[in-house]
Amino acid sequence: MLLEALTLGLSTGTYCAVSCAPVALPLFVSDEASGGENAARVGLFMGGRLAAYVLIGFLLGAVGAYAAGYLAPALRSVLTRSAAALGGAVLIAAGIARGTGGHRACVLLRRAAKPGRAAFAAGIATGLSPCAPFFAAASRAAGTGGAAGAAYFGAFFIGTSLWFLPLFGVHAVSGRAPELRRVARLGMIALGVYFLAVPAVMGAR
Amino acid sequence: MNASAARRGFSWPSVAILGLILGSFLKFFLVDVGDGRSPVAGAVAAAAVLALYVAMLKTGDIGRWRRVFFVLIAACFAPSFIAELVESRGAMSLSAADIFKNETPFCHIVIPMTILPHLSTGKFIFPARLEGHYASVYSMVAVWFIATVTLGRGWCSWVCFYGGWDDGFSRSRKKALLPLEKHASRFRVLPKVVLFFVVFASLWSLAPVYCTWLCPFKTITEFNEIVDAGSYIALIAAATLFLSLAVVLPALTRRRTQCSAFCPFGAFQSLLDRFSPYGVKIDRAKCVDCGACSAACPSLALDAAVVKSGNIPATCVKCGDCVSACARGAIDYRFKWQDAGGGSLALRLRERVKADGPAGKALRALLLVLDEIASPRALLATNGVLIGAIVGGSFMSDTLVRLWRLATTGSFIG
Repeated sequence: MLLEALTLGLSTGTYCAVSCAPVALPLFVSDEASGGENAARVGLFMGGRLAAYVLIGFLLGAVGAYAAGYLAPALRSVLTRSAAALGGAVLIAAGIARGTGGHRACVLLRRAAKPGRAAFAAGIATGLSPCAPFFAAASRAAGTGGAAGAAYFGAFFIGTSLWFLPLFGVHAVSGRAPELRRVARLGMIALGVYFLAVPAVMGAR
Repeated sequence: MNASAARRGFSWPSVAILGLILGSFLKFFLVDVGDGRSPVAGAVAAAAVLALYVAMLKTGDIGRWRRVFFVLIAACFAPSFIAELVESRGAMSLSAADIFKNETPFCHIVIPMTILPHLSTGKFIFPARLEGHYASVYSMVAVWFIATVTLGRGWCSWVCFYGGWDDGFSRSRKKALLPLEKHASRFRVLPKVVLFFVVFASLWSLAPVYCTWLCPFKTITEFNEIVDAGSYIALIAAATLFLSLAVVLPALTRRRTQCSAFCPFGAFQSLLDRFSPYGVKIDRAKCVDCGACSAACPSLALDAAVVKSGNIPATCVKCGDCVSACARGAIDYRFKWQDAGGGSLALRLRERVKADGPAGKALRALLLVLDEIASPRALLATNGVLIGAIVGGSFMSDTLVRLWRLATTGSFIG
């Protein structure tokens, strides 16, 4: 079963990566970091994803098929809104914090939204985001028992992680392009507002 | 027209040769292949376009006559497009049924935001026909590709059927009430931010976010049927953006605020401008830093720092306003591989012809004509007018037919 989860992650990981890219890429592209710093932050991001996956896997495994079947639409809506809200808040906070403002509020925000913290929180947000491969994994993990469900999602995470490896090289591009970092920083604030506003205005996607 | 522009007008033989070449293309695209429209209206539209082209070349004032051409396309596009929508589906608004039938006209602004979803899912996240219509995906992408490898960012001054709105309003006052030149570098980055936003937001939602929420031109084309709070907010947003970015701010600032500070497609074209052979270059040996070019630049591509450096950014829309404004001829269209002050091979050969007899005079005249018709100025203008006419010419002839119908029957819609 774990092998199945691994291959599910490997085969559908492109979809996962594309679905997480709108949160992950702006965050890492806007960051001025060395190779080591970037690697540590990507590691924290992946840690956040793993934590969210294991938690969801455990809950689905423990609660059972009831959650994946009858509650699926409601569960999807709750997860989408939560992921969008958390991802949006992280992008706005990190985007403002990476500015050069000297205002007291900016300084406080800069302390609160340190790059490592922002990466971990963004990882949780993308881990909660229910894309199609996520639901495929959820339908298999549901009802297998808490530990088995968590393990299933853990193996699924390992499979999908292959497609996130390019994040380790982002600093090589963004480090040489200050305008790209500036565009990404302003763009992530706009994306954050969108992630917060659209589910509120239009309902979950 | 200023004096410098007059000095750099083309000779009549060159204008005649270039006019014949463009005229034959215009006859083919607007009269022979008129999309079923009246050949008389097509001929009138082709003649009008040709007259503007001749004015560009003969006067040398490309900026002024290009603007007349460009505004004419935009002014004809909106009424023609709306009338066709009303005739084909009975309303200017787009219903859910139209979307499910893939009946939404595809516009070029959608191209950058559909690329990543297309690569990741294999599908176009836009409910348009793929082929068989002038506004289908394949026909628009084909025109865009040809324009990109020829004009590059020049699309935004020669082809885009929306750009004429802010271009026209940006010249409605002689002096700017809100000067933006000092902040030009800040404004230049904004379209890239909008592009960054729409690409990732479209990827996240797998929906054309710009069209749904941000396109100002929904106001003068089609808008989503109002069925809920979201569609109502979207329409108010579109109307507000149109009035502010395409009408009021251009009039107050004398800048094309929609195109140079908001449009994500403009940013996309700037990224692809490296594939265009044409650019605008400053000859620093002639430049006296008078600021006339940066004051005239409607796209905020020029400011004092840019002029001093001599490196014009890829946000330049190649409109020709700076070329017309420079009294010293220090700024001009160039091929990208040319030096700012370098002459052409034909001109260098012409200088070597020393014979004063009739043969010498004839050879010098021939080399002058060769220099003019192979110059980046002539080739860019020819490319721009031709592609602009291919895209916008049918709207011009259609509007003519509708105006005739309005005058004779009292109805603009058939």
